[in-house]
Amino acid sequence: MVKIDNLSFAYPLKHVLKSVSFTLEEGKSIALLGRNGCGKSTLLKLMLALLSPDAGTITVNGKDLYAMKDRERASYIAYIPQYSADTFPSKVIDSVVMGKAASLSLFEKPSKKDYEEAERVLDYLGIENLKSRSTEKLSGGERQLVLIARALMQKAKILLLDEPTASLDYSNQIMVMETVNKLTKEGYSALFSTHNPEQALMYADSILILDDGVSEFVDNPESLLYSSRLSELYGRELYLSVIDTGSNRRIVCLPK
Amino acid sequence: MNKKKMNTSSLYIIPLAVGYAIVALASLSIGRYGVGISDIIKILLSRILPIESTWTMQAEAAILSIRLPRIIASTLVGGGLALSGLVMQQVFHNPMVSPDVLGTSSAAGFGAALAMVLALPSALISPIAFCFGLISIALVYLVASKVPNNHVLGLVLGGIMISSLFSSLLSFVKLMADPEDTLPSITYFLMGSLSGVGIDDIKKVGLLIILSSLMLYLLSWRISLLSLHDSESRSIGVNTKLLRSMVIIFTVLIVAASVSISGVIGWVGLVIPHITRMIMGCNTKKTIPSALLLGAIFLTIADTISRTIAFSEIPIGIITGLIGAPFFLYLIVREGRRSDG
Repeated sequence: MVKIDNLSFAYPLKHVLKSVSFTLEEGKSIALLGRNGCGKSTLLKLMLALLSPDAGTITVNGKDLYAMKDRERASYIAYIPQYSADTFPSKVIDSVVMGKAASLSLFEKPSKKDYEEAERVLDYLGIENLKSRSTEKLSGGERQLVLIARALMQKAKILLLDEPTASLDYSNQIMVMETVNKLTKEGYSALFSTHNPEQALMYADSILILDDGVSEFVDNPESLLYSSRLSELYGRELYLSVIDTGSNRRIVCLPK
Repeated sequence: MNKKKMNTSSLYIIPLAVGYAIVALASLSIGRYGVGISDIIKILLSRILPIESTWTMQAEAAILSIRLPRIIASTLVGGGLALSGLVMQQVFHNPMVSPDVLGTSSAAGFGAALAMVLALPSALISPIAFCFGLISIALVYLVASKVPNNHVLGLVLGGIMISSLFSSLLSFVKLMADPEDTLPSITYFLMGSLSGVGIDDIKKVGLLIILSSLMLYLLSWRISLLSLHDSESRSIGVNTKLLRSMVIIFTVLIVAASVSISGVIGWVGLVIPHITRMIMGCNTKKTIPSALLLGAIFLTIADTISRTIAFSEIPIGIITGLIGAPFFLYLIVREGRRSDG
């Protein structure tokens, strides 16, 4: 469980986060919604201890996140970036096994067992066929799944995803979000940022809205159906509705 | 089964090792005084086995006193510079980076030139060049500490600044140098040469280059993690700042030690890492040993050319430049085609 309490952060010329508080429970997902520059990435950076807050605390299972060493933090929190640098591409299996870094000593290399585990993770995500492919030859969706596989190798139960479906085609967006959904059902906690309110309404258990530094935690996303909060957030009148397909309830969000 | 697989996965090194052995033997054989391969082998073995001498004293002197030290030096310097370039490219996420990126070569070159101008004993030139190489990295870290939020950017900016500073100081020292005597020596040193390298020089820096290379080899898997963005590598539990600093220190030790005995030899640290990745891919477990061997092969060939192609010896830096510059152009064209595709 991650507890964020009264977290504030400002860049030299801009106050980005003001007293943000929320809790990410085990097996739950939170979508981070907000306009460009509202502090979504900053919040993720704070949760990865890449930045230090001006005020407030982050605790993971009761432990102060900022008192942890990189290795310990990595055992709790995994990060799936929007984009991974590919200056020196590697084989998918080598990229996935990098998730073992925290559990290996400085001069230790991944063992055969670690590679077998990486293969199992790829198999679990349904991308075992990619294991020998170069990371530079992956599609956007495949790349995201490989990054998720690396996060799973890390054995951390909290996943932070920075716009995981940005610049993916519709089919890949669904594939990635359904994978995240599957993982939360199996006990992982996920916090993902997105620019797509439909995605937030469809896949998240709760929504954290960041608007001009102020946060608003929406425990029941469906409550947004009956308010103008999203219209206010994006500065456009939006039409939200529920479509019941029989087996699923889907929320659509369209501009009026 | 496990052992068998491990042995198979290490097979890539065999052609390179054989290639190196052939080049080294050829280099021992070629020269103004030609020596046959069988004589070379006998001369080398005679140092450890009781073999009756069937060769001339000149052949023995050419092999043991002149060519062998040069080949050991070209192996250490070539392998070391190629490895340094490969690792620096990984650290700075940039395949166009060379080992000089942090200004080590400029600083070591300045140190050597300063020692020459001050007419210090020749035995002090190498240690002073080496010390200035180390001073440069301390200064680069001082500059980088002023950019706390972007360590890599701080190091690059520091490197540019320190390199430029020592280049200016070097120009000043050259201006002060005696144009009849000292200036040609400085110029020759800066062009890079293995002609003056003896066993004593190798004893001074050999162990340092070997140990630093060994440390980089042992860190090879961790070095591959440095090619990730800092936010990614830190999130998987890597102390990037510490690891990067360790890798940079070992690299700087290699570069400073190399420059101190051979002068400034360009292009090896840029060209060989590219060739290595073209052959082996990007896995550091393979590229690190391969770059060492390919660098050693390249510089041994360049050194053999430099001492045999003309009546008087041509500085090796000229040979590596003549090979390296067109290859660099080829790389740019190739990259351009790839991005167009």
